[in-house]
Amino acid sequence: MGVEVLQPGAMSTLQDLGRFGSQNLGVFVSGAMDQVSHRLASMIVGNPPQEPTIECTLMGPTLLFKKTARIAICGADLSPTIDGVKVRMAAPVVVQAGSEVAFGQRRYGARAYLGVAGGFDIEHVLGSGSTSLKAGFGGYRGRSLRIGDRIGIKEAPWESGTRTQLRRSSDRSGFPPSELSVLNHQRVRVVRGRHWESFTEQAIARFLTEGFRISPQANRMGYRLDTSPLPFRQRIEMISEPVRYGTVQVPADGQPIILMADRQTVGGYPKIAEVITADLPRLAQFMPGEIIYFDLVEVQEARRIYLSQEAALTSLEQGS
Amino acid sequence: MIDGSVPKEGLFYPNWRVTTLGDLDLLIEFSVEIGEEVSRIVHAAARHLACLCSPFGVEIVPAYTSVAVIHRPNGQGRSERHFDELRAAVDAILRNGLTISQESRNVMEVPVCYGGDYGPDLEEVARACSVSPSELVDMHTRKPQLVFMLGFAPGQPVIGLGDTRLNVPRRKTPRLEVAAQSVAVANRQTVIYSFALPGGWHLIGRTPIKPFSLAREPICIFRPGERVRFHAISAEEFEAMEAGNGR
Repeated sequence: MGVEVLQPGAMSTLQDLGRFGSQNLGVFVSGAMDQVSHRLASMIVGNPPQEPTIECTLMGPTLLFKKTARIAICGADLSPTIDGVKVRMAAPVVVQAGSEVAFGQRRYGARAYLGVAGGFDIEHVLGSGSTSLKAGFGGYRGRSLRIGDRIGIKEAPWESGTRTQLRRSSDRSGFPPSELSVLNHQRVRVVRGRHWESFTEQAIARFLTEGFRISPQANRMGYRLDTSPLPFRQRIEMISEPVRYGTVQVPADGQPIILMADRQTVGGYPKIAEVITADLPRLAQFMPGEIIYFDLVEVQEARRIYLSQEAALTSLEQGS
Repeated sequence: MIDGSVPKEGLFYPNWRVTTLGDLDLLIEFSVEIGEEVSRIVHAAARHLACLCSPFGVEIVPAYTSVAVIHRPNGQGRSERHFDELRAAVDAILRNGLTISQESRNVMEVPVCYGGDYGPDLEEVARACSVSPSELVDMHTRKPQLVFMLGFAPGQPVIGLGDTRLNVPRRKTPRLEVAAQSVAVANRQTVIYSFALPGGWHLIGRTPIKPFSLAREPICIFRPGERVRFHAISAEEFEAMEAGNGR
């Protein structure tokens, strides 16, 4: 007993923190593109952070709830409603059995995360509930949601004091805190990529000053940036090596691609830069067609920003 | 850099270079050239570095000539010191020397139906190598080769190095979709596609072996560091084996 999909939305998939521990087998990591919003949705409904949410992209799904459930929606504002009535974002909300959660106009951001208390009842593959779209496994049957899909909701564990506290903290204004802000950013921070020196000074100057339009084909595997080619200092023969979410690669045509959650585990193109881990959630909230700017930071600074974001999330998750 | 000095077994002290990969992760490079010896070093390093996974919340990802140490998300308890400690631990492990394991005697046999519908690029590749198609098959099946890594898709083996004459570059225009289980070559290497995904290598045959299957134990049938030998089978034999696969 759980939800039935009445409308699938543009691209709705079950995602958790990703499929780790199997990259040495060539298995893609996948997972929520905006892990801050995913984790906030999970914590507001009292779930552990690795419990899957539904990642709703651009246009959200319509879900008929067959049983009463407590949900939270975080991330992009896709105008969520319950039975036509507007729903508050980033707050615990009860959906009665027989009610419909739906989405309307996109107002801010690209991806919203819907968590349900108890979690969705889906099969875990190689230790994760994330959907691996290209490989066709994980999440709900390895694919995005379709009309008629039925997803069970697991029993919500008996509420503890901590969880009640978490829910109250989300009612405060000013939630979530600024370290966890993911929407309405035009700029993301990067550190130098391994092949930064292979690019001309002009290429580097352009990379750090120009705005780059994210191509319409941008998807969970990567965001191609439409721009005139970035010149190499010299063409280097690259041997494929491991990559990460946020690696900015530049293939032979000189147009950068930012690797995203469904990337392959290794890549053979020069890496000009790496989006810092703390800015991956805001990267995930860019729409195709939007302009993105890059700011360079040093690794030490990037780590400091990451640790402060983690501290903010951890303190919320622990109910302090 | 690697000059034939890697022992068949025993302790080996490699040269290595560590750089950051992004803001949190590390990349350890052992060479700038693909080859069997560096591959054995890479996999020995990956085995030694595996002890870092639990305490540091990382996973180890080997490739041709490098190994990455990549952080899992949700890093509760990580501190400023974590990154310095991780780097120091990596250096200490590599400085202590790597045990190059004795090569497994197991050679996995991989039956391949070469050419025809299953290997549409066989003749073109043969021409590019200035040999006949049957000579190309001989070149491909003569010696066991090493599984360098699993990459590009789940369970997908990258195997090499083949005959020096098999040095064709990748196709200029990749195919939008390649049949799963296709056996393809480029740059003296062979891949066996595990999924029907885009592919830029030359298709010379197809195997009834499924590199990746969630229904099977082991899920990934190829293992990095092990050897495989290809051998030719007829289309009838291939189709019989495929039928046995439950298709």
